[in-house]
Amino acid sequence: MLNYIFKRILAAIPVLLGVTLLVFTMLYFTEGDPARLILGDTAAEEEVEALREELGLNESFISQYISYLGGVLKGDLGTDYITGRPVRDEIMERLGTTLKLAAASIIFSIVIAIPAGIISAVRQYSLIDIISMVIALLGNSMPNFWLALMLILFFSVYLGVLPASGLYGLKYYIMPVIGISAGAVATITRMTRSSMLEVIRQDYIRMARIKGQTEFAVIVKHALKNALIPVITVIGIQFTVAVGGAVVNEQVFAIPGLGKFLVDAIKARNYRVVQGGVLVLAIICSLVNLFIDLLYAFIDPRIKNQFRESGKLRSIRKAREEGL
Amino acid sequence: MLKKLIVILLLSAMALNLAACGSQVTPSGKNDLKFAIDQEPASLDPYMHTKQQGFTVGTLIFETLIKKDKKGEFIPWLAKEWEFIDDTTLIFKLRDDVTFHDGSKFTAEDAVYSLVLGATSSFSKTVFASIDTENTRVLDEYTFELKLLNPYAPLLEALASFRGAMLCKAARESMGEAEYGRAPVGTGPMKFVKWVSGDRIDLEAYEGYWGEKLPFEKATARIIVEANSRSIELETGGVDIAMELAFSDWERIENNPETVLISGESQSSTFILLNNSMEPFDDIRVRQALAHAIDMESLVDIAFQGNAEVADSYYIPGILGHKPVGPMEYNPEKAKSLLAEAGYGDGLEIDFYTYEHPIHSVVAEVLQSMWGAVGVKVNIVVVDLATLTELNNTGKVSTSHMSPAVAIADPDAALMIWPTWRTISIRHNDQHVQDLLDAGRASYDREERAKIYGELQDYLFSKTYSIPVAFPKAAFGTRDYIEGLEFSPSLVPDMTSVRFK
Repeated sequence: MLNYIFKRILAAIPVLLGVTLLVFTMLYFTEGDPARLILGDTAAEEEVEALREELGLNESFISQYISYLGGVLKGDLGTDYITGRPVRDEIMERLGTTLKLAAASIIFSIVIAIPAGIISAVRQYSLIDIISMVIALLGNSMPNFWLALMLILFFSVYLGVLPASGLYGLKYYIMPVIGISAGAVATITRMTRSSMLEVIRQDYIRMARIKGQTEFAVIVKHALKNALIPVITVIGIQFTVAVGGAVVNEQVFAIPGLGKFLVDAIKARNYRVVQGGVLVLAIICSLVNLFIDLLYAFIDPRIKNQFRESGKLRSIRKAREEGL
Repeated sequence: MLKKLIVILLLSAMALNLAACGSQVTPSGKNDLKFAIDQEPASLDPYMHTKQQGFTVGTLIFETLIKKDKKGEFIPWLAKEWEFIDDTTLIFKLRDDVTFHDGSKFTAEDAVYSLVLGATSSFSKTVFASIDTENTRVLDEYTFELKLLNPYAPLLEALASFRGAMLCKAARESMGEAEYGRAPVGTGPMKFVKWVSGDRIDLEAYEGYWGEKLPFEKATARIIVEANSRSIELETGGVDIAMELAFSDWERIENNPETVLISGESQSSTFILLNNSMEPFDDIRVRQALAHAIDMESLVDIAFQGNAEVADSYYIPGILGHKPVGPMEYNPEKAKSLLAEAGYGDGLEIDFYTYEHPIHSVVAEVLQSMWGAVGVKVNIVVVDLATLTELNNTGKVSTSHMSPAVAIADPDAALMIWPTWRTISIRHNDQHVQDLLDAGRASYDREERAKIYGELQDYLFSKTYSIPVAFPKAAFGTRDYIEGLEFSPSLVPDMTSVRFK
């Protein structure tokens, strides 16, 4: 298992290097001068040129990239052009909020979506199934910003029971979590339903019933465990979407998260912040994917066995299987 | 027994009531102020940014040498007196009872340090470049001599504005400029406590403040970028004041009995930029034809939803020397004949640059229609603001709609786009404009200045180097228990004037 984790981390290094190169190149060739944006239209060209020099923007592409990469390897993501503060500090200040919100949204999505998906599958074409699917369709179709504003209008303006913005306590999480997780709830519900429908028609489920197991045991112990693999994949994807794509909700609910920070940085051509932010998001995506892969092992014993076997044993087994 | 119990309960209730009354500072029960700003400031150091949000928070933390009263007269503040020795020399005498939030004394060293910084920082040079940094000097602990490189009439206006804040030299030097901008030390009634990135800036009352204490012990500037969320927070009582309300929210805030809308004309103006160094805009007939083809009333009404005045000149009436010179008569026939005269009788095709903005986009579409009616085909080129800024400052924009912020309420600042050395795409290269700007800047005589700027506005209008469009209004909202706060054309209201009813 540890061997596998180590290999996966090693494999992530070229991916992360590729991400830094891609983002750096895209920003380098994008129009818009950070120095001019910082100083504004009224600044003289000499002042802008001096700032450009100070920020190192007059260096060649290669020189800038190598210097950036050198800093990254030492844990230095550079300096925010606008505030003059270390990008690492700026990102860390916001990352916690974003991760907390994403985690809360995913937990909420799982709690709602998996039971809803199971019930829909077990009671296919029943009223509950139809209602679940309609809600799932709405969740997927509603624009994020619209839903967020409607939640504020209803819960804050009309009912006055929830605060409209900020993140200063548990009740502040309720609306942003609903706003962010609407799409995830819909996707996970649909995936659970279709995966469960596939599994409950298998022979071994029929066998479990014949053996006299209770319906609850059949569904939860035998069907759900096998239906969860694709659902977990979707949950992993939804988590990365929640981390990187919560921009609209962060803006509407005035939440100091990473997504909005990155969008503002792109608008201001704040290169180092964009590069650092994307790199951190890429690391999070890699870790989430690794975690999801490891989770498979706990759910599916066949995958767990693959982790336990050494590379040599695995190749012998594979050769034998192919021989058969 | 029952009687005793009732008496105890009544006494307890009275005691609780009294305790509650004791904690109320004002009848509205408020002793903290929460206000929403629309952007996170890059820094709170007034010489390291140009954004109104940072200056608004700064009005509670920093103070200036002089202030302007309601009559528009300059009054002493941190400086108890000042005197012009000649056109380029002033002597300032400072109060001796002022301390910074770190407990250190405010002295002439700090004042000279702040002003020299103002003259050298790229963010404030436009306002303080005339300060002679080498010869401005400390005379004694509370006296200093301010030397100018040349006579500079807007000086007092600049010193009285939020741009002329006094910094703590020792703190800034020991903390470094980035950290000082993040945790500033000033002399104002509130001191910095905490800045939660992207969320809020917390302040608390400074016990050692030399002046009148404010009626609130804490102040929080919440960063709420989304305009709808800002107004909803105001309506639901999440904040006491919300800055920069969107036009669409004005009516709701005004009609809500619990909120008050405070609106007025901002000191910025909007105009159509024409690139005078580029064909066909180097021909005055084309520029005038484009101006005559615009029904300005309709354009302003549509784009600003009735929340702007048609610009009758190049800066707003509240600033010295404003002279109504326009707008150009709406006359499509005249526009067509001018175009024909310039050799474009068969039509003309131009690019109009804009970016995704609720007002600028509408202006572009309306102009496309109005100019189209006189035979000018307009291609709307939509780019992002960063790209537009770069194109504009490298002279590549042919036409666009601009609304630059005005640093201080002085004609010299209001006409900041006109010096010939400016890099934006207007590029008129007219020395007479520069001469008039220089003359206006150098004259301390208000009447003479007003005359010079009047002449300049007439001249600019006759040349039609740009087309003034509108003087937009702006608004902020308060809860009904807030009083004392006045609209500020600079959009930087003096937060120290806030009181609770």
